Amino acid sequence: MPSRSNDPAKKEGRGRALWRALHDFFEKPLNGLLAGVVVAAVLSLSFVVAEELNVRASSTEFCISCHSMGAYVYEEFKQSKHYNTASGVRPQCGDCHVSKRFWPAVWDHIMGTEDLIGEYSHDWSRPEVFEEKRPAMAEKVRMQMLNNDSKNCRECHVWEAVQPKRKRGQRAHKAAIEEGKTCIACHYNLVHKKVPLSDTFKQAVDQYGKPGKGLSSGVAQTGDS
Amino acid sequence: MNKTRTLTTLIGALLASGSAVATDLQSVDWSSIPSTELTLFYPGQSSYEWIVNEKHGPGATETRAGKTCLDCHAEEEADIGNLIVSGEKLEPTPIPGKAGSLKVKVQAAFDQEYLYLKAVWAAREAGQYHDYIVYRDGKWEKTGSHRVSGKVAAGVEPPIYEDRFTVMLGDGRGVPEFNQVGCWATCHNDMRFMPDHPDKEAVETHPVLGKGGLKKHDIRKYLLNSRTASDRTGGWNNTKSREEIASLRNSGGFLDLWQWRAHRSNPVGMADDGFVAEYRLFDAGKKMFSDNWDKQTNQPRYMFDPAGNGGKPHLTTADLKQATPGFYLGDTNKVAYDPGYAWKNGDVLVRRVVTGKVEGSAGDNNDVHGSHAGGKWTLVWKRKLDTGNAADDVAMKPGQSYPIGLAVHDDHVTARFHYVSFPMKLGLGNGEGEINAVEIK
Repeated sequence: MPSRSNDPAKKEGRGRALWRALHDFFEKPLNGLLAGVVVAAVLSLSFVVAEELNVRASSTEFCISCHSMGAYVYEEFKQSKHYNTASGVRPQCGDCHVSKRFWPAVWDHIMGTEDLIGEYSHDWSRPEVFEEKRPAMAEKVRMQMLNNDSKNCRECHVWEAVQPKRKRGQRAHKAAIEEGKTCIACHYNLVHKKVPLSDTFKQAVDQYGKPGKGLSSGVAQTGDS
Repeated sequence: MNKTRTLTTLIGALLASGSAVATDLQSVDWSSIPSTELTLFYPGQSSYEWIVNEKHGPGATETRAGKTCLDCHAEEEADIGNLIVSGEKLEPTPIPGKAGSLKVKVQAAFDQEYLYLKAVWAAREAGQYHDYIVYRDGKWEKTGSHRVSGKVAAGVEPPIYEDRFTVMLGDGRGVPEFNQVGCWATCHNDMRFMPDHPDKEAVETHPVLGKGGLKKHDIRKYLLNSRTASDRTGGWNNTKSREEIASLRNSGGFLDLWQWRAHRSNPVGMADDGFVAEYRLFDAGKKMFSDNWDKQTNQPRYMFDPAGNGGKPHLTTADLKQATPGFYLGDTNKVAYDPGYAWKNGDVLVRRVVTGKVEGSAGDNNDVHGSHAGGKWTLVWKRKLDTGNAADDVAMKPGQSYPIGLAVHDDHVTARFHYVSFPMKLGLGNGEGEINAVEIK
């Protein structure tokens, strides 16, 4: 005896029945309106929930709930100028590390699930484990920021409005604007523990914007030591 | 036709010789020559490797992009010096009480044959003595050194080291990084008093720098063009072959380095003449100072001629506080050491001998005179624009510009514990430089 699900005639019948039921339902305008309201409400609620998730998942509180973040980078953040501002402005982790706009932020969080795997696949209670990974993590963030023109920095900092106190900063910013440089090209060791520059990142920075004359020395610096 | 040509040649030769008549250094009217006040500052352990890497922060990016030190740091010299000298940054062994910067007033002039320099800077004491040897219990002991030597820091030896004024000069092409980062082109993390200095044995066994080569025991200034590779520690041991190094020097890949020394060159009216290539070296020939020490007998080679030294062949430690007439051993006041003299504990001889009998390229700075008065050194300097020694001197021409760096060692220090300038240009009559030499007609 054949199963019901394999009966083509019956399948077609159910499809037609469903179509008929929908047709009958939407014949009444009020029902159509009602359905629209319900769909809009569900979508809106979904967006609100998703946005709430985005916000929460971008918060410092959420980030430091993982040992790898709370034990190391958060402690460094607390010592930084970004944490201790005279104006009381204090960014959350996500302000620097997660996109601000909705869909890019969703994408960042999806990609961030890799970190979730990392959190549970390493023993972060051992500082040496974190230090071993730190250069690669810093490199990843630096390259991201370089490739998106320091987008997250620019969400808060208006370049033209930045007023460095020291002459060197004033000169460097003026030149950087003229040369189309980007924040991370120079400010690559902010907030967290300093990490040596990789040759890859140095080369990428040197080719960014309007390249300068280049280092005069005939011998390139190679590798870390 | 032949007569006309002969006459023209004669007039030309007369004009040429007339324009090449040098001005006597003492008769230069410095009051008519514009002066530049420079701020030299204390650099600590900042090195070439520091400049191009992350510890220099945003500056590393700027430097790699080709900017010069002055592009970012003009007018910041005193602030930088104060920060470093305090020990807060780049200085693990701060010298108590040392100032962060030093003002130096510089004037420059030239004619068709010579460069004339004048520099004035404040120096509380003259610093005209250098290390010395003292007689104790039947033998001579070397003593006195710079402030950061272990024995001086421990109070075992007194700080006693000569004052110095240094000029580093490039031709603008041979060492391009000198135009950009100045003296830092020669300063590396693996030099003495720097964080990554190799041990003595490693240097002595190096085939080019050690016992089989230059016979060096430590690492001093060098250029990266003499190395095959470098990293954050520098590249001291990655020397190119001797042939490649010689070839580089012959093609102008070196920096000229002149140093006036209050004890070892000033008494004979000179400054030394050296260069930086694979190491900091002296020019060919015979320089003006040498050791007053016989390694075979462990005794001095010379003592003072008693006839010119108040009847005594020696000084006392009290003399070392002031510039007595016999504060140096020179051509006219020295005699061979007499071991038979009734030496007694505390008798002092200087450990260096100075001579005016220089030879070759090493003696090119033979008209340099410093005088200390009123808490200031005043230094006047005359040097040939082109010494004719292309293998170890930069040849200058009127109308051209040359990258230059200056340094002052004062208050009994050596090596990196000096005040330095950012890279500058010396313009000879073209107004292009931070230091502009004007032509003396």
